[in-house]
Amino acid sequence: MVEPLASLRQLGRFSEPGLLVMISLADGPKHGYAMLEDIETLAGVRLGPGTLYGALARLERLGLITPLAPVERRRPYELTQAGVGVLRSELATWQNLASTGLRRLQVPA
Amino acid sequence: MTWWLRLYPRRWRGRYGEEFATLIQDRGWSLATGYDVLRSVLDAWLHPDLVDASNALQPAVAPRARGGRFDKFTQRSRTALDLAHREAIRLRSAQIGPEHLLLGLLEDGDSVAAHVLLQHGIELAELRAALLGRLQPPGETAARAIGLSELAKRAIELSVAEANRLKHHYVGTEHLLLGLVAQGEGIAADELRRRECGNLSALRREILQVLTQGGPHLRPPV
Repeated sequence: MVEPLASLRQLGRFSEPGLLVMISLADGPKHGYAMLEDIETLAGVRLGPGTLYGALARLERLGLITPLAPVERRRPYELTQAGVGVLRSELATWQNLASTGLRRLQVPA
Repeated sequence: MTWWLRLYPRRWRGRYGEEFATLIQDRGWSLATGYDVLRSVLDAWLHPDLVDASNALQPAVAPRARGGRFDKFTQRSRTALDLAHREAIRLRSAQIGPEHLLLGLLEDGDSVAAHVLLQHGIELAELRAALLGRLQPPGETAARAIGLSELAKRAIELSVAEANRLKHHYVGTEHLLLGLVAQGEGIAADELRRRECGNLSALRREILQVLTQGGPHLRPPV
């Protein structure tokens, strides 16, 4: 098995916030406030700012997002191309899981 | 400076302090925010390595002490390996082969390897399509952890050797590309050869040129 590498699963309690952040950045760069608002609307999850920055630092460390120049002291982040690839495959995994789960519940997917 | 920011390590404050304080100012304080910030202070002290000198211009020698054969790999080349792993799983291959490694390299258009290929006149999407077109039809392997094939292991060993040869203290995407060419067997090396990217010494020269001169597409390796 390939060892090190960028999997959201290795982020522990930050893996779900990390995934939400990446989904939020999927349609373009956003700064922290916009991400929190977006995630709340999208998923009904109210992330704290500390949790957000814990996830941002980890995603940046993995090379999945990159900081852009701050605008009025608010720094936008964007997905890197590697981030796009990882997000795509992460979402495909979840999609698989979801359809298996629904099938087992005998709910049409 | 806001008093509570002083709770964070200095390096963390230097990197995130301003934007973080602005975010909290925009959101306002609450009990939940206070608790969340305290947890985050603890997290910042427990994981000082998270504050990355990501704006540094030198290729960062992957500093994570994970030990083993990947500890000199840059974050970018690790990500390429991870993407190769994911591609192999997605394509239901039993192993990660050199072709998956190349697919992994092609995913990140900002890497030095991608830049060298672009400079070579290779369309990343076209090469990707050509590789996918030549891969075996999916087998029965379910999505689970799979290992590197012998050829892929050899390619990775050769990429480390290439880095050593060039006296680079890190193994980046450019070395992975060299490793794939040096290993020489399989679909990946064949497709590279077809695009006149199979000459090892010419490729080394091109890479050194890109590394010293940079270019419009090139950001410093992460």
